[in-house]
Amino acid sequence: MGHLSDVLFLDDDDDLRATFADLVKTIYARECHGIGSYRELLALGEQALHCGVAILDINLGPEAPSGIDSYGWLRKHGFHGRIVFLTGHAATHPLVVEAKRLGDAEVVGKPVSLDRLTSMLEDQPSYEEHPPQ
Amino acid sequence: MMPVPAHELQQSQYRWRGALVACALNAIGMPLDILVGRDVPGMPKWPSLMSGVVGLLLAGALLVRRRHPTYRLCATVFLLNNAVILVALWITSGYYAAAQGKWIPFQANKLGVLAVAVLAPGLATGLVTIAGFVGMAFLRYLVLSTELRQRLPIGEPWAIVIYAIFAVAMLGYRVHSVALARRMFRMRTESIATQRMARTFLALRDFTNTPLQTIELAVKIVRARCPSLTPLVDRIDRSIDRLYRLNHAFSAYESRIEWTEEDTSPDTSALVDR
Repeated sequence: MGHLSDVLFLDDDDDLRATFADLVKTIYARECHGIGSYRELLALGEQALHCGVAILDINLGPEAPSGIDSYGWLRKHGFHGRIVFLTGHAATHPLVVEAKRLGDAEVVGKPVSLDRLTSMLEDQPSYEEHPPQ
Repeated sequence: MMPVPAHELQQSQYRWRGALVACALNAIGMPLDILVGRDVPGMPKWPSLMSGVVGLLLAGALLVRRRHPTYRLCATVFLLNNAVILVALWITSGYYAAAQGKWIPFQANKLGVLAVAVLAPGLATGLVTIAGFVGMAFLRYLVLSTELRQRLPIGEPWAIVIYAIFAVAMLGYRVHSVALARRMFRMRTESIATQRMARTFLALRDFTNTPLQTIELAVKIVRARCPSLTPLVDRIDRSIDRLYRLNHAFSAYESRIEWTEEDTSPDTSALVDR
């Protein structure tokens, strides 16, 4: 079972995923569930819903469900934690524009600094305030 | 060999088509004059046939050079085609004028100037050819006997001048419209090229963002785990900063892109590997 302090990190780049998980563990002493696709998110299921913050890459590869699809799944299944979209694309890109329109998710451009990352991981809603349904 | 720009190629093809249609009209239209003049006493068939055959040969020459049609080729063919028509009309009009019954003079010349307005490969070629049709009509009129001149309808041969004025106006308008369309086509082509370049630059930037992020995060881990490596890690950080500046420079191209449906799930690796 996941914990509120856990971080969900969705990115199709293996190296970034592994490095991010390593960093979260090393610097913030927190558990990171690194997944590479929407399918892996579905497989993670409940564990994903109990994370405190989800960082989602928007583009998960050609013809693959995007980070926005993952966002939809998380919200639909009662994820009340903070969701941050991490993207390497232009601010005017259609997927980025769509992500910004969602309202309750932030969009942050890659590469993100350590300070920004710290603020993303620290300022998150509490589990008690927003329990998963 | 330098590739011909798309707008130049389009212009050449447009001229080529005009010259080809003019030759085809000669090849088909002039032999029909034999039918029209079949009851005219002594009317020779060879001028119209000769004109038609020359039109056919010139059309053949254009077809042979269809892949590389130059302005000079199109203009030369167009002028030759009309010159041979004028020779044929010069001969046949003498027989029409001398025939019994009412002849409406220089109809082919009037039709010719209007066709030139639509088909001429350029302004100069068009003006010369219109002048040729008008000049031939006046010259033919002048060499007719007084008796034959008096048999012509009122207003002839001046009616062709009105046709010529209309033809010149039409030709000028057409040449202007073609130039405008060409300019718009060139601008569109340049815009597409700029978009393609901007797309490539952004793809490069997007492609480097994830590895850059990985390096930056890895450096933070190294810094936390091995403080003794700080001087080395500092150098890596400075190098990353320089790459960020490059990254930022590419951002200027964001506003130049008109995103399409194809961009919703881009394969940046494929774009970079191309």
